[in-house]
Amino acid sequence: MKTIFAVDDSPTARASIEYTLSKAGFQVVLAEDGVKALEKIPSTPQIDVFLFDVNMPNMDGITLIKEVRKLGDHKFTPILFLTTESQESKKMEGKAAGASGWVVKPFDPEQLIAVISRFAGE
Amino acid sequence: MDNMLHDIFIQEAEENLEILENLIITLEETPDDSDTINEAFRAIHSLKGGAGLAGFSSIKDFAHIVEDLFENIRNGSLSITEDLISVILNAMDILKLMIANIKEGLDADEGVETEGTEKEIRAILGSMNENPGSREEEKKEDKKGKRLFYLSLEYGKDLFLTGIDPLMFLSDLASRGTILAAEAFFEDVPEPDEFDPESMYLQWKIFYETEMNEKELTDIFCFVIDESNLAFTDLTALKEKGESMDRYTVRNMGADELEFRKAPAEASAVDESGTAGSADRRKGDRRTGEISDEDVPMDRRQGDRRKTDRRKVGTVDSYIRVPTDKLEKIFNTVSELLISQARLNMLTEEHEDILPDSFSTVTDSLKNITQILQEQVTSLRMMNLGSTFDRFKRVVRDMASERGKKIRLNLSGQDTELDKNMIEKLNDPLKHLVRNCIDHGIETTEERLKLGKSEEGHLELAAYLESGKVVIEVSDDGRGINRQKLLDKAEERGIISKDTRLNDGEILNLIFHPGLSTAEAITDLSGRGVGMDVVKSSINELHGNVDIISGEGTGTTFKLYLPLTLAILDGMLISIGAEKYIIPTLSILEIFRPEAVHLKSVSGGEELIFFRGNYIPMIRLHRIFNISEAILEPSEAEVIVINSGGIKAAILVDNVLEQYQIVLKSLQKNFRKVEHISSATILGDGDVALIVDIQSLVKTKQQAK
Repeated sequence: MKTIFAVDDSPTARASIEYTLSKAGFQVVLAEDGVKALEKIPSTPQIDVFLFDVNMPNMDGITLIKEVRKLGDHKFTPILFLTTESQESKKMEGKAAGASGWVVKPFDPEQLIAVISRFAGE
Repeated sequence: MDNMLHDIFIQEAEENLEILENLIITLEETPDDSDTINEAFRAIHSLKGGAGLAGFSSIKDFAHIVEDLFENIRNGSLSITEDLISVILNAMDILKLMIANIKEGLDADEGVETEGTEKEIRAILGSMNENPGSREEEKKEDKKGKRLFYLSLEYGKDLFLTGIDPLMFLSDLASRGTILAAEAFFEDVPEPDEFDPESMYLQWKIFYETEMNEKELTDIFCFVIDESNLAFTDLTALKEKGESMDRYTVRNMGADELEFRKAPAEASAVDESGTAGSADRRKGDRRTGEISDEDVPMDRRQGDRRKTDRRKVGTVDSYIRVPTDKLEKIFNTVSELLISQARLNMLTEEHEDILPDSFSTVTDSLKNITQILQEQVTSLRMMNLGSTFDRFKRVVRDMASERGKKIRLNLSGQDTELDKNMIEKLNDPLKHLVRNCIDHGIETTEERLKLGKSEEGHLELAAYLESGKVVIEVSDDGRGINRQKLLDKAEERGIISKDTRLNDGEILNLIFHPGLSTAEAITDLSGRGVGMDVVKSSINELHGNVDIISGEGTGTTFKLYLPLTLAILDGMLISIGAEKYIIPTLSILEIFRPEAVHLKSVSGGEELIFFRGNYIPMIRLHRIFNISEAILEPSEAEVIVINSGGIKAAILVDNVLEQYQIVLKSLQKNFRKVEHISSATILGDGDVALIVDIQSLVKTKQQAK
């Protein structure tokens, strides 16, 4: 089973990510912001794809991408970030920080599953 | 799931709205604070996102235009004015109504008038000469039929550093069409000593047949298109016209030859040449070029990754939301456990002689564990007063501007914790006290200036812990309580008689008398007759007290004393005759054995006792509860001095036995209201002890006067 590590400060978003992805057969690990995510990542034995929200308190998604890329274990792990249509500039910022791609938020469940599956190699 | 998601969304939305409202009020004071602006943007952004995810499109759409406002505030193209704040607050109210609707199971926009505010917002946004609210929908050109593409894929060198596997694209292509032929180019791969395993050196050329159009094809590569040099050439037209496609070659094979080859066989034509250029993915990846579903998984990490124990990863977040009734059930169970544990302890003591020593060791440790468990469960119900207090920022702002008063609200001690159930019940009394301060306490600006006071009135909400109690203060620097006016009114309404002599505390307490309101003009909010008495009774229901400190001309402070939790009551176990009662510690000032010289009888049979320089009334509890065999002589018994809302009295009891922590199950459930008794508990020995309702005792005493 592939494991997706998702970070979003919104409980609604977390719930719907978890619901959508676990229904599609993924293992989902959640964290509510960048700081908590960085604490949790080392103890998570397997992560196949990261999914980060961009707008988060404590540590935003872009910074989190940079931090995760610094971790030896996840230098090459796909990182997707969630962004809204209105944040065109964020896409470039995210890419520059080392993200693999983005998912437009609010996401269409099927689309999220499709994109995650691509990156998870499912 | 939908319901669960809805509930989560509602809760989140309410939190976000509350945060937003406070941030907006803060913005009004410090319009340039970028942290506040960012935070507000994030709150409305999550609200919008959440609404979208939970499927509330009308909320999402409305939140969207509000978000546009904040976006423009954030990027500096919109500056904060009082009008803008009002528009935003209106929008907040609309969102609140919408949330309230869905909470009721209604449609979000049912009966909610959004149009006006929406127009206002659009006008504001429109005046900045663009309308970020509208977005263009791209129309897909819907051409069916297979197309032949020649793909040239040159990825950026840093492709791997963004976590992208080029094979992913091949696999995507394979799943949406047919790769007729593919070839990997090694030309850029450097000599081994210059080889950087983290760089991407390979390029691909592919003949590809698909029903996708060019736009859809491009979309597959949307994540890398900017850093890569990708070319998609549509050969369909050439092919149809029978023109030469010789210059497009893959593995030295021109596109013209394609027809003669079978596609599936060609799909594997990539074979070993498709091997990736990064060292760590070489191992075990020999056949990566073969594009079939099962071979594409990105197991490139296996090379460098220690074989970790792939045990199941917990899906639990660091917080979980639990319905309060579940907590309540745990709490009730723990309280049952406590009673059983206490009984077990009693029995152990009783039968010490026949029980082995090890038995008491076990009961002792059980006692400790139960206590720890009880403390932990109690802490689960604790919440801080932050959001309760913050809510008043808006209330005070609105009320002050309605009344034409200038009021500054100071908050302190927001992190003081209280039982969640109590916090909910505190909202109304606090609101009433605050309204009372604004309506009756704080003077109008002109009045204040005339009196030489600061133009701005001050209102303070403070919370702190004081010897095991939570104290909440609501104070103003207004005109204070006019004692004479209060007395006159009480007399006029027949609450007291002309010759009633009251001390200052008792006079101030008249304010809590039902139906007494000293405001000359009745406002829409306070002064509706019900009010202060409700405040007092709701605080009493929480086992708390209210004290008033008021200086005429300098302001009034209401002090609410509350226990930390409703679930546990600290009390003194007392005995009268054969009966046992519990007196809540919160009300106790002092316990002592009186001497005969301290007692005094006055006409009307009232007994007084000398306490700290004053005579206070003595209440014989045995008379109230009709208990025979009680100790009648006070100097042989004990008195407990209690304070209820500033009124002191001494309660005569036989013996004060011990301090007792009572775990109260759901309050006043299964319990018929008995006069002067607030609740009951089961003692360790199985006996029932009744908990004395101090407030009602004192009230009766007052009335008797």
